[in-house]
Parts: sequence; structure tokens; C-alpha cells
Amino acid sequence: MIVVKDVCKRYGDFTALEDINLEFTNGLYGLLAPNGAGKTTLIKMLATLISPSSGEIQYNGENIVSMDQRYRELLGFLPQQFGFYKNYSPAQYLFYLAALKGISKQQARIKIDELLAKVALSDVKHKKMKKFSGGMIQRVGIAQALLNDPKILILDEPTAGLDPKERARFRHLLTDLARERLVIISTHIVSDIESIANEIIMIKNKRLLYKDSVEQICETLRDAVYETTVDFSQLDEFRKRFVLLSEKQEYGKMIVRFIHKGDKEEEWIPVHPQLEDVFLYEYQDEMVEGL
Amino acid sequence: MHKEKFEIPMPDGETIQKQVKLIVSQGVQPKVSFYSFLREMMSQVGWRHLFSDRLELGLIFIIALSINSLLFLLPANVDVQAIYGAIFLISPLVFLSLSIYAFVNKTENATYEVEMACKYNVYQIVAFRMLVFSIISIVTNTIAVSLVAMHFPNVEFLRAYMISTTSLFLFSVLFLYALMGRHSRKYVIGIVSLWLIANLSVQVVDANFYSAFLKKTPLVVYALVNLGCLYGFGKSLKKLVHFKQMEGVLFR
Repeated sequence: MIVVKDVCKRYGDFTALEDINLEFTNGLYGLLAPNGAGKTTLIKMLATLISPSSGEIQYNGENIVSMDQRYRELLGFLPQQFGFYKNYSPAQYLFYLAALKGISKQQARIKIDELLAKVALSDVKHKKMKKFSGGMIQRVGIAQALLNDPKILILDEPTAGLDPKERARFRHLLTDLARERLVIISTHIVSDIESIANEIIMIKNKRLLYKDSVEQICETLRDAVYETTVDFSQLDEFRKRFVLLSEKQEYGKMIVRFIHKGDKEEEWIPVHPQLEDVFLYEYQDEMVEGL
Repeated sequence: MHKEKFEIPMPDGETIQKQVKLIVSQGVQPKVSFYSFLREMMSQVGWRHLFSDRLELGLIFIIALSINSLLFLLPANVDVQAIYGAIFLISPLVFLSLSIYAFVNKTENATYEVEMACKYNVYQIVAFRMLVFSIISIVTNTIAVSLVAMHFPNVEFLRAYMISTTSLFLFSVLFLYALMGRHSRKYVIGIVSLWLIANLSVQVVDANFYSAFLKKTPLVVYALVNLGCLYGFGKSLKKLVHFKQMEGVLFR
């Protein structure tokens, strides 16, 4: 079990994360927040790439920084920017990383074949990676993270560059993996984790906002999400009055999905809140700032 | 109220000792010496992956060869003190160029984060390479010093060898201290420049003092300084193996 205890991360005067407390057991955790919210900082601390400015992270009661290579032996990590040697083939690169992970050559050979088949790269295992598409590179990255059969798998934006078919395949792979290990995925794409995560972690204003199941997080917007039809002429006014979640054009009118906490109007149809609704609602200010 | 008394049999001494040993063996991590760590890393990772870049190996030999051949640019009638001075100045340069190349190559590469999360991380690989580079430097410096001693009859081999190794380890300790102490590229460049400028300026300002110092310092003193620096070098490498980052990448 991983415990994040009162963790803060500061870079000079800038605070990236403040007072983070979390517990992870086996299963799949989705770290969901917009870009720049501190997801990668938390992920890097969990992967021991950087250390907390205060507080600590423990694995089974032991500080992960003190565990040093004993912790890294349990870890599989895919960074946001997966670096590779352009003149290496996937097989060469995976053999190299397997050696750095302390895996014997014989074991590595079996594992590499198995993993390249899993990520559908067996046909190109001896081709130089400089000719690979972004999606193919990302699949090599996923394979390397699984080389040492890790007990803790940490993936930072793993679906970047994957097409819809690859994303679906990746989700199935993760569901299988999370049965017997701890998997943490950071993403800003709700659909990547909505259907597979046991728990969602959301960070806002450098602090932990939610750590709960999708259902429980959606409950926070219970009886507050509606859909209604609006004339084009009224749309601007409507946007000013409510938090709009989506707009869809149909038969010359707009069907809008929005949030309103208070008395409803007769023509509004209450709908079941989705994780995307909570995401858009909670991060509305950051999204406007980001535009 | 009547309380039932439980009889708990006390285990015998042998059982207690066995249990204590079991708890200690499972609960306490055995301390691994630096030497055993390097040996284990070498056997698990292998030479092929520790020096995975073939270009790098070629570069190592070209650099070692060209730096040491600088000594033969000295004119034939040069003063023996000047030769000792040149040996002192040039000896660490092979180690320096190889180490800086290995360090920048590993820490600036896009693969840095992937390799940092492996059992044997970037700093451990770099520490191992530096150790190998120091051995390469000793070997190439010894060859160069022997050739110099043969070429210039006034040069004493043992003294030249002592000057060369003292200079190498003294500089290596300074270099590793700069690398880990301040985490800044400017600081490392500063230390390297300081080494070169200080040596050259002492030679220019008071050549007699500098030469006399190198020529007349007893060999025992060289040996002692050498041992001290070697110890410091070993300790610094060990520190690099267990290096923990606070902010981000070292040497930026």
C-alpha cells in the first residue's frame, strides 16, 4: 500500500502541491485534472524522480526515497514524454531497459516477446524506432513499463498519441493489470478512466479535491445537471446565467446541458451527472484562464 | 471476582535466539558495500549496456590519446620542472572530458526519466562509468608518463607518476564535490576553469615556486595526499550512487 502523507512540493516561491494526503491499495486509480494542476509533479514524486519539499510517501510503511532501488524494483513507470534512442529497435531498447531493471537475458527474451505481442508490435520489433508513429512509440513505452512485472504501475498521460482503437485495447490491458497490482494513471481525458478506474483523484488549487469512486464524485452534482432547448438568440444570455457543460445543435435550436443549484424551471429536464460534468464544473475557472 | 490465571510457557533460550534471528533477517535490510553493489550491478546490467553507446567508446580512446599526446608537444630542450607542471595540469583532463560527456549525455537525454525509474538509475550508471574512466585515466596517464620519462631523461618516472595520480584524484574529488554540492552547471564550469587558471597563473607568476613545489615535495607527501584523495573519490562516488534529487535534474 502507498500512503502519501502531508506532501507539499515547492519550487522556490512557487507551490505546486500543498498538503496532499492519499492512500492507494491494489486497483486502478485515475488522477484527473487539467494540464498544469500538478498531476505530473505528484506522479514524479510517486516515481521518486523528485522528492517532496515536506511530508513523505511510504510503501508498506517505509519511505520510498529511503527504499531506493528496492522501491524501483517494484515500479513500472511511463513518463509523460517517453524518451527513446532513435537508432534502437523496440527489442534492443527493451533489452537495454531490462538490463537496467536487473532482469536476466533469458527472462527478458521471453518477457519482451510477450509484451510486444500484447501491444501489437511483434511485426516491427527489429525495425528502428525513428520510423515509428507517436502511437507506436507510446506502445513501446507501455511495454517497457511492464517489463519487470511491476507491483506498482504509474503511467503519466499514457493515451497521448493513441487512436481510438488503441485506446480501447489499452483500457482492456489496464483492467487486466489492475486486478493484481496498483495502477495509477494521470490524464486530463475523462473517457480514458471513467469506465475502468476504481477511484478518481482530482486536484484543484494545489490541493486534493476528491478521492472517491466515479459514482460518489458524480453524486456531488446530484439534482443540479439539466438539459433544455434554447433559441440561438437566448444562448448568450443563457451562457452568462449558467455553467454550460455542452451545446448541441438540433433542428435549428440548441440543446444545452448545464448546471444549476437551486429551483428548476419547468421545461428543464434533470439528467444524471457524469464525471465529465463534474470535471467541467470544478475546473471552469481554470479552463477559462487557459483559453 | 475470581480471575482465571493463564499459564504461558516461556520459550527456551534457543527458541528465543532463533526467533530473534528470524525477525532481524526479515526486518533489517543487509548493508551492501559499495564494492558488492558495483559487482552486482556489473553482473546484472553487463558491460554491453553499461557502455551501450559504441560512439562513446570510440570517443573515449580518441580523447585519451589526444590529451596525453599534448605532453609530446613540449620542445625537446624543455626544463624538467615545466614537464612536471604540464603533467600536473594535463593528468585530470582525460577523466574530466569523459566524465562530463557521460554525465551530460545521460542527464540531458530524453530517456532520462525512463532510466531514472529503473532499478539501476542514471546516477548509478554514471558513478560506475566514472570509476571506469578513472581507471582508464590512470592507465593512459601511466603510459604517457612512461613515454615522457623515456623521451626526457631528466624526468624521474616515480615522481612524474605520483604527480599525475595526485593531480587526477585531487581534481576528481573537486569535480564530484562541485557536481553534487551545488547542482549547477555554472558551478562545475567554474571549478574546472579555476583548476586550469590557477595552475597556469601560478606557473606564469612564480614559475620557480611552482616547479620547486612539484619537484621538491617528498614522495611520501604525494603518497599521503594521493591516498586521502582516493578515499575522498571513493566516498564521492558512493554518494553519487545514492544521490537523491530534490528539485529536478542535477547539473542544469
